[in-house]
Amino acid sequence: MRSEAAVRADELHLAHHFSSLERQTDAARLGMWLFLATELLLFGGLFCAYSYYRWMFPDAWAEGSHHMSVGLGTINTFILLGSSFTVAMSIHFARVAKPKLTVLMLAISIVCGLAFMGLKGVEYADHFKHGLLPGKYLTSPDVHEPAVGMFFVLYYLTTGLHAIHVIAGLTVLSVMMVKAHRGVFTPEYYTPLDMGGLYWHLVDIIWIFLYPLLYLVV
Amino acid sequence: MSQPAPSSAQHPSGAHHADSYLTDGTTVMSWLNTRDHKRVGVMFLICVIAMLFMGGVFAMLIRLKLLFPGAAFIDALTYNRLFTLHGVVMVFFFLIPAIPSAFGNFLVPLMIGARDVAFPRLNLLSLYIYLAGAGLALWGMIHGAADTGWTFYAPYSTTSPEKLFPVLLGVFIVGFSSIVTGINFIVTIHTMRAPGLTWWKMPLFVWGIYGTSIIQVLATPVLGILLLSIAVEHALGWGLFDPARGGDPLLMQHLFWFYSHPAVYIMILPGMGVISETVCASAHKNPFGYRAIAYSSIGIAFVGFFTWGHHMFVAGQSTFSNGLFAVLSMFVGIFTAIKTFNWVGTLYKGAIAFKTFFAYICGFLYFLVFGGMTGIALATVSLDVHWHDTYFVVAHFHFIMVGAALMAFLAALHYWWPKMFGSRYHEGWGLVAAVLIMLGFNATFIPQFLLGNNGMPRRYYTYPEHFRALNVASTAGASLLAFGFIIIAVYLAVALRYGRRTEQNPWGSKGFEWLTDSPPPTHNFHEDPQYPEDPHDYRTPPLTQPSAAHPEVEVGHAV
Amino acid sequence: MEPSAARDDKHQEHSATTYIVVFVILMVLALTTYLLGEGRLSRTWALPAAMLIACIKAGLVLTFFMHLREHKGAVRVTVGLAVFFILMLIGGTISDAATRFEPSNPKGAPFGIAPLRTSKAHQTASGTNGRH
Repeated sequence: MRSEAAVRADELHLAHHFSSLERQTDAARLGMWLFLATELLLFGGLFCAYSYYRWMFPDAWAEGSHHMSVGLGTINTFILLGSSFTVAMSIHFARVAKPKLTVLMLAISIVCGLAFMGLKGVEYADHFKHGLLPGKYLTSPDVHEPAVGMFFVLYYLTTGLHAIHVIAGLTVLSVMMVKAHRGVFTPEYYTPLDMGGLYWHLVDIIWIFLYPLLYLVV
Repeated sequence: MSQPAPSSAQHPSGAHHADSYLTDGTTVMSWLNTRDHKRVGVMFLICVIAMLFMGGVFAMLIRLKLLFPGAAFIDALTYNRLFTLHGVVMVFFFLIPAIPSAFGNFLVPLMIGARDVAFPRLNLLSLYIYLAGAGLALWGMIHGAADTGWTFYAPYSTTSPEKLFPVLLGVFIVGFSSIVTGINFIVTIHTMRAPGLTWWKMPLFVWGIYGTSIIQVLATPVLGILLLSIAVEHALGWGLFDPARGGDPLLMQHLFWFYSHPAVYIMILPGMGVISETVCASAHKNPFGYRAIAYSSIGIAFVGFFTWGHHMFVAGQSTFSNGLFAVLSMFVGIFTAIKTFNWVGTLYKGAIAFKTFFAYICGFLYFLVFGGMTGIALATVSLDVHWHDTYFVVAHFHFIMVGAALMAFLAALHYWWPKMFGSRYHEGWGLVAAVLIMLGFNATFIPQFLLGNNGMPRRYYTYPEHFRALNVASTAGASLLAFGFIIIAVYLAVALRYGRRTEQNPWGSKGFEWLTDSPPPTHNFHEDPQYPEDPHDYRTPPLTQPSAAHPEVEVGHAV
Repeated sequence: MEPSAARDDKHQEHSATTYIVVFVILMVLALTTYLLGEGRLSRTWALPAAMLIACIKAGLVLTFFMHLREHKGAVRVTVGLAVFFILMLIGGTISDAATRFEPSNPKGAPFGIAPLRTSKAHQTASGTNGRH
């Protein structure tokens, strides 16, 4: 009943304390999702702070979002959505046993991630130049509402934490690309790639919420 | 990968525990590099006991200072540092990992018939993360001398001149360890149960751990992000919690208690699991309302998230929120009461064996009910206005967090001692120590209830002369308590070295963990265990797994 | 149990076309939310509209890219619980800020007020708070 490839995958990857590779994969997946839940709550604390001060200072928030470079933010949104798509495709190609395309898709995702970080850097540099800095460091002369400093506190905290996650995600994707290149992943066993992909999608989901909250909302 | 070396072969046969997990490799590296959940559990046990000792020493120093109303042998700043050390060590490094990481690690796989936890390497990693975080925080506190109290309230924490960063980072890292353990348990319970061991056949301790893990996974990250924000705030002064720049210190308290109130249930829920197990074993009776106890574990885990505002009744929270959180807090009382009634119902007409752990069960029930009732009183807004930030609160949460949680920890230590180390301690000394600890505990904290009600604020270095008598009484009680712990340390150390070997199932328990040898072999079971019965089913005599080592088993229907 | 057979089924049901379609929808939604934002909807509707679109996008990523629809109960419950608790956290905190005696909320402080650390700020604060 079981194919030769499945037996081989068992030999290579099944740990002694699991009864089957299927169970082991289930365990890894549930563990990964629980980890993603903790990541969501980590950002949840910041989203809470954002909402709290937004409630208190709606005018400052409106003003703060006018100081954002919406163009860069939007391009970054497209880039990150694109990278999420290519990561999903890389897993798809691992499932249908096309390792070269898997590597290619991961490479595109990494390029997208780097581009995102680059644009983010440009944006930060721009803010620094205009003195759009958090709290007491805010020196921009164009700011009128007193609480805009708080908007920038949350802008830097959320995007900063997100950027750290992008870097972590890029590291994971690079490792996966090397592994895929070495032919570790087969249609029977691609759990690490799957887990790494989940992490990258999470990074994308966080940005899906950060983008309108920081750039668009008046 | 973890391929344990073939074990029993080298050991002479005839020795009782020839192939236990304790003898499978005796080098230091075989412990430090183990993947065995039992060894990780034992190492966690050693660490948390060391932390308990350290926290206890700080507590004694605080109590000694409070013998005197005015300035005494330590100065005010040192006093602040001491209660911060005491709080941080006891809460983050002892109480939170105590039962889940030590006993949970050891027992959950045994109870669900698994060979190990789902992620053995992560499990070991969580120990090292814990050690790294605790080490960093302790070093930071001694070096940088944090003086904010364990709550890190703004604006103390954002304006304190001391170096706070290592402490915040250390606690953040220990939080990671807590999360990893929680994830590991949830996944283990979901995917590693033995065939035939359905959800409703899980031992009650496992239900307690499951509820705890949910809280650990969902609440700890919020503490993490809060600690990072405080670190940023302290280092850079962005003004996130500073009213002068639009920030609100109350937001800090909201985020803090969103974690730290459920954290109380991280401490007490596994304790409740321990009591559910040991109550059945001491009464030799089926649990009264198995499903009610299981459901209420999950219920407490869930409801515990909606009560955090009751810590902020006098901090400036809105009247509406005060009422809301006061009402929501009462639900915890309902679930706790369900459990308490079920335990008492289990004991009713049971064939009770008065062992040391039974003494701790009695202590637990008393401290939980007393502490819980004062908790209900404190969650009532009008009463809290009077008691907030007084010694009444200190006494209340010590009754729950130390009284109840520590009773459960000691009950677990005594009940599972033969399982973990294969030896027996002296029951007589055990009972003596239990009585001393309970008397000492009451003598320490009942005066504090009275002090608080009379208006002595917590965390103060000095107090007026007329509070002196009660403070002296409290310190005397604390000394008694410390003496009890010393006795325990002595007889357990003696038991470890010279204690007589235990039978496989010394208490005649029907808990699933007793189905295997005591101490268990490296892979937990000689052959896959079968689960034809419900857990704690005392209608039939205790089962033992047929094993080469123990043909004879005491059937313990005592007294 | 036939793990490999079960897994093969998943292959077929998930062709690359699904991913491409989802990707296109995501791009269209991103463009929509951008245009709505640039069009400067009234303040009442800007946030609900943006959040609705963000939720749809996150839902699509979760369901298709992260294969949530293939997975069984525990994983879905995990996601649901995480979202629920974030909403509770935000709801509980905002309900406090929203129902407080209004003047007790911080005002965002005009620039130039000395930070809390200095003693001058303490004096100002205690002076203005004046006990009755």
